[in-house]
Formats: sequence, C-alpha cells, structure tokens
Amino acid sequence: MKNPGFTIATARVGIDSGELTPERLYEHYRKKITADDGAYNAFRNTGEFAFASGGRESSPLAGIPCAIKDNMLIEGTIATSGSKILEHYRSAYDATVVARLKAAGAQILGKTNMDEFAMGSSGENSAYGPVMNPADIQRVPGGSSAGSAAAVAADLCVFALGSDTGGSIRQPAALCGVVGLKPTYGRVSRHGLMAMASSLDQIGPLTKTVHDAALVLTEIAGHDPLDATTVPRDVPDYAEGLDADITGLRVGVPKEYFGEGLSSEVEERVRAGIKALENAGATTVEVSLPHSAYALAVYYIVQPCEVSANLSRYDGIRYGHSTKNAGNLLEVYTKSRAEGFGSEPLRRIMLGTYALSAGYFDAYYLKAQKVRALIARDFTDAFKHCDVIAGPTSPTVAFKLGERSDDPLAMYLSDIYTVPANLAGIPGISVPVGIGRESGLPVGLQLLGPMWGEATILRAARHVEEGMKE
Amino acid sequence: MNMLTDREVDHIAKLSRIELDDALRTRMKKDLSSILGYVEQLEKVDTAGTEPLYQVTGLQNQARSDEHKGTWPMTAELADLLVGQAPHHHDGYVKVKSVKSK
Repeated sequence: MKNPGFTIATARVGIDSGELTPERLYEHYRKKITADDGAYNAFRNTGEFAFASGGRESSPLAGIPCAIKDNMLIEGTIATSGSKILEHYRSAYDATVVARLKAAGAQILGKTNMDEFAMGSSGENSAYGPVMNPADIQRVPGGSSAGSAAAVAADLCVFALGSDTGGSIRQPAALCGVVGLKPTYGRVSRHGLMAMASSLDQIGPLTKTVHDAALVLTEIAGHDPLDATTVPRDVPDYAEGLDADITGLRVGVPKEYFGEGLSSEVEERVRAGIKALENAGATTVEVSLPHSAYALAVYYIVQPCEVSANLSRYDGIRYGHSTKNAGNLLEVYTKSRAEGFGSEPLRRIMLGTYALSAGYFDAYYLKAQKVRALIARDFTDAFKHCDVIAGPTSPTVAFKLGERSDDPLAMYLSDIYTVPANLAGIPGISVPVGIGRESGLPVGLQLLGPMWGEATILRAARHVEEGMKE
Repeated sequence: MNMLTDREVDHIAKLSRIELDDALRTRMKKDLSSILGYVEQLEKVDTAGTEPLYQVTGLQNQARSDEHKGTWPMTAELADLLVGQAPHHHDGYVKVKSVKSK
C-alpha cells in the first residue's frame, strides 16, 4: 500500500503547529505531480496555477492544496472539459465552488483530466489521453472524475472536486480506493460548472478520509443566487458529530443491489463493510427498491436528452473549435461539431435528439420521467424502514484499459448502482472497504441517504472507515 | 433489436447539426440501435396514473431582485474573454456567415 500522504486533518496539524508552511506544502505537491503524474495523466493543466496568498485563516481548508475537475471554471485559466472542442477556452469567471475554496484559502494545484464533458465511466474518453488507476496502471480509474480520483489516490493533492451526474464521483472513488461524496441535488451550486445533464449534475469532494469529505462539503455547500436550483437551507458543520454513536441506526440492504452481475469479491468486501456498521451498533433491515432494474434505461434517456440541449451551445460561433472548411452557416455548425466532439458526446447528442424528436417524445422522454418518479418513490418508501441504504458502489473492481471501449452498453453497466441516486436527487457516498480477494484492487461501499441526509451518511461512512482498520 | 435505417440516422444527425461521414454513420447506427433496444424494457413498466418527475427539489419560479449588482465590471479584459474568444469577431461583435445565400 502506498503512503496515503496528507489528509486535510494531518496537513492542518502540521501548518498550525508551524512544522509545515502552506508554501512548502504546495511546493511538495507540485514536485510530486511533476515526478509522478506521467504514469497517471491525472492532471490536465498545472502550468497556469501558483500559490496564492489570502483567504480565511480560520478555515480548515486554509493552505490546503487541492485539484479541480476540468469542467469547472477558474477565472483566466483554460477549461477543456476533456474535449478538443474547448482546447483553448479560457474561463471568464470563477465557478461558485472555486470562489468558495479560494475564499477559504485552499490552494489550487491544477485542473484534472476527465471523460469528455463528464460522459464516461472509465476516464478513457478524454481528448487528452486516458487516465490510469494508481492501484494498477493497466486499469481504468473509473469516470468521469477520473483525474480527480487518481490524483487523490496517488497523493498528488490533498483533496479534489469532481462532479457526479450518474456516479462520476462515487464510481471512480470506489475503483481508486478513495472517498467520494455526491451531495443532495440543490445542496452545492453548479454556477460555473459546464452543464451536462442539468436535472442530475451535482458537485462534490473526493478525499482520503470521510472527515475530509465533511470538511470540504461544509465549505462548498449552500444557497447561491447564481444557481436557481440551490435550496436556501442552513449548512451544518458536517464534520461535527461525525464520530457520534450509531447504535440503533437502521441500515437498509436492498436485495436488488446484490443480484446478477455483482462480482463475488466485491460482494464479500461490501458485506464486510455492512458488518462493520453492525459491529458499531447499527441494525440491518432488508429493503426493496423494485424499480432499480429500470434505472439505467431511464438514465440513458433522460441524460442524453438533457445533453442534446446543453451541448447545442458548442456551435463554432461564440467560442471553442470552429471549422475551417465551412461554405455556409449550416456547415459551420455541422462540421465544427463533428470535428470537435469525441464519439461519446456525439452518440449521446444524437440519442437525445432522437428521443426528443417529433413522434418519439411520449414513448421515450415522458415514459422515462414517469419511471423516474417510481424510482424516487421506491427510495421514499425504503427510507420509512431505514436511515441509510448500503450496497456496492460498482459491480466490479477496476477493469482493464480498453476492455469496454467498443461496447457502450457494457460500459454503461458500470453505473448501475450509482445512477438511481441522481435520478432521485438523494445524496450518496462511496467509502473504501479494502481490496478484493482475487484482484487485489480497491472496493467501495455506497451509502445512500434521504434528501439532505448528508450528515447521516457521513457518520455511517465514518464508522465503516473505522471498522475497516480493525 | 430493430436497426435504425440510414435515412433515420441522417435525419437525427441533421437535427443534431452533426456532419456524418460513412464510418461515423455506420458506427452511430449500430450504437444507437443497441441503446434504443436496451431502453425498450421501460415499455414493461406500468406507469398509469404516475406523474413524470422532472425535478426533485420542488423549487419553482425562483426569483431574485432585478438589480445591477456590479459583480463583473465590464473591463477590456473581460470583454476579450467573452467576445474575444469567438473564432470570428470584429470591433466587439461576433461575426457569422450570412444566413441567406447570395
């Protein structure tokens, strides 16, 4: 096992005791990235970033080096979203999450590589080359927040931000062996996040510990007048009460999450994680999420429909790649888009366009949104009998690079357990539960909570983490 | 699994404003048909009497005061980051090819 390096908590102790300075810590990570990232390709751009003085000294994040997924804007710097179409795009302002991290004094090391426009489950769909899993560089790190997960796992930063539309924080966190949290829809502002599927997208942290995830969430959560989908609700200190006793906590175990397709070594570790919760005083109850089997089909209608609308802005006119071979205005659009987008965005734009086109709307989009309501209702019903739901984050450990590239459907199945939370809007966290017996690769346990239930799933995750040390 | 026809794929591409060459048409025809085949399973779900779920927070008509907050003063640098990134621009305007043919 590699040395996990600094957590926010340990770096904080070092800085506060005077043993470390934020400048030296930043320099330490810059050197590590230069030395090690050739093997992982986790970072897209570090050259435009430097240590910045200022920020609230009282924040737990003051002086902590972090990395930001390349679909979030940082004023004056390039943001590609992993796409050739935005190769030279320069951000005009800070995303709200970035502004909040800067105000807290966090130090940005660079932007992380990702599947193009956050579409992908392997980190292989980047126009700037695939990301490799630090646990085994022959394998994928998961996606789409591939670089953020790999950078945290390889200790090339203390923490990172990712975005999660169907599992893009939790799945790579599981495959790389780090913690990844997708907050409740409406908890964290998406202002300055490149829109992909607007009814599903949410920003969250990737960290080395559950405690760190709580610290970052506390800093980035909250209402933002610039994102009308954020909910005006108080933000608690999520790190407080993390170690509180969980005696009597009811853990729902959905039978649908332990069926066909789940690898036995993943199941074994996930069951060990659930056992750790029982050892800490929680009780388990079997729950049912009867419409789970349909979540992926719903997702692959709703998500491409929203993608087809959101990605229509890349037209070769206002910014981004523009073709040199257009004879008329229509060709500016059609050629710029064909030249600039990779195959996954093209596939989803066309799929969404088809599903929304005249004559098909009712059969696809409307039908999918109705089944989505049933999936959300399954969770509401289940949470009458339990406080959190526990299961695997991903059906398998990290797969080999190239293994699923030619079969989009096989790739999509990686997200079968993570997609339902996005459709229902509920929060989810993936926490490491050791390594698989056969592969020796990391396995993640997913904990889901009801809307605004971040504090509860964080506390449960903290106890899983603690139980795994024994 | 029903295969989409070349004509259907070309129609979707036209609506999507994407130029297809032969290789991309073949690939998209195969991939889209396979995904559409997969999502067909939703037909089996009884959704009678179920309202669609378009959003999860229940927020509606989020209004804010209509005032100039001055958050982004329009400096030459900001103007350059906004309009200056257009592939074709002139005097602070974005240039496009003429819509009507001559």
